[in-house]
Amino acid sequence: MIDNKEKILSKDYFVGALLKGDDRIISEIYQRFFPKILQFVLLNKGTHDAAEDIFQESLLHIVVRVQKKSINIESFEAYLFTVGKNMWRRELENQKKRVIKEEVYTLIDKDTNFAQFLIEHEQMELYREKFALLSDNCREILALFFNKVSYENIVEELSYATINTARQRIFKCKNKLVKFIKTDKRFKL
Amino acid sequence: MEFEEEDYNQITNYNLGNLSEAENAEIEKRMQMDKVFREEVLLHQRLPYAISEKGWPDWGHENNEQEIEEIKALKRSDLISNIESKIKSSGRQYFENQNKHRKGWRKYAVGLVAALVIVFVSLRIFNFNSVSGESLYAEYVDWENNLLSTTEQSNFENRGLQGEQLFKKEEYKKAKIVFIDIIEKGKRQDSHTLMYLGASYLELEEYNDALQVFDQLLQQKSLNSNRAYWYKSMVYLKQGDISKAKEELLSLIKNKENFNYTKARELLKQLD
Repeated sequence: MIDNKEKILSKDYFVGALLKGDDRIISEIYQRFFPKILQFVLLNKGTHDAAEDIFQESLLHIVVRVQKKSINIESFEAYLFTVGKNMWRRELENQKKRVIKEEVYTLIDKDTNFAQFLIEHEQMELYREKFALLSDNCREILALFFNKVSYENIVEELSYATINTARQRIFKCKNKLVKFIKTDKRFKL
Repeated sequence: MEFEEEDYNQITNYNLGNLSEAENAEIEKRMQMDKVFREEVLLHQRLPYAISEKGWPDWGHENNEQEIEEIKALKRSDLISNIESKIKSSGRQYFENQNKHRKGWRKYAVGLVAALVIVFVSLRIFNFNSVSGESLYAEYVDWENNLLSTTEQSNFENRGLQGEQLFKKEEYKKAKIVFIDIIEKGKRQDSHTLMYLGASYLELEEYNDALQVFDQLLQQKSLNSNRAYWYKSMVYLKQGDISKAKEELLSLIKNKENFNYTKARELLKQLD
């Protein structure tokens, strides 16, 4: 029973409904998935209005990506949540910049902002895809390094002999990752 | 183009903010003169944001003007504009219905508040704190920000990441099996595995096991060990055992460097 239900509620069910503009299923999308985005935004310095915007823009993001054929969705819910979460992370950074550089920060129009996020998100997906191709050990050490864990603590956590050994390992793993990314034809700066 | 190892060290130190003002200026000058070097620095700057879940990198978009215009044109096309209208109208309807529900509830609010006060007073009398514990648990548990994440993408070659992915999908039983398997096979018993295993137990309401795992994390004396105080306080909160939750939080705030120090102080105030 559960399998059948999951099949019915697959990515195609929701993506198809969005593309057709099917009111009934779009309403279902709000009912099923908006509360999770709302909770995330509220827990991260946002408001109900901001969550509404993020949710609607995330749905549009998926529609445009499908039209651009630059998307690979395994699970609609997980993908929608990732887009919403990243869109909000980016918005928070922009808000910080607006506060810090009030005088020089120029507001860009909504569609340009939408397009820029889309490109950035595609690139982030590419980075993550390539990161997943690294060995277990490389992923482990880079995850710590990218989460700003000090070399001393990396040595302790992963039982390396010296800081220099850990540093060398990070260097090699990072270069491998950069090489994977740069040789993919989707890579752009 | 490949750079020398020393260049990469400079890039890393520049991005980590480890260079002197003069060295920073030197790197920035080189970035202005050498486009390829600049691109290398930018790529290295962006990598951490793709893997960790904090912040978002700066993106100049100097080279993307044409693609930006294409995306904007696509978004403004009739097809997408119509879909956008449908999304917004469905949204309006959904939020209006939500408001109606809320207004409907307000009619009963006075009675409900009175009933809740009676329940609350009764629970206080009988020293049962589970109601406030549960709600504070819901407010503070926030796994999204309180667990270390290696990557958002699943990679099923790696059991740890597979478990993490299952946890994020709220498939706690399956996640638990994966993490137990990792420990039993002796592959790893690192803080990442223990954190996720304990959190899975907690979500499955297997509290004793959750506490045991978090105790193990605490005993590891690794960088992430002190997180165990926070997680144990969540176990006790969910169980409604406020005094034990407070004990854990008090241990946590003994050291300002500990994980969630500020949140722990805030939560303690609410529990007093």
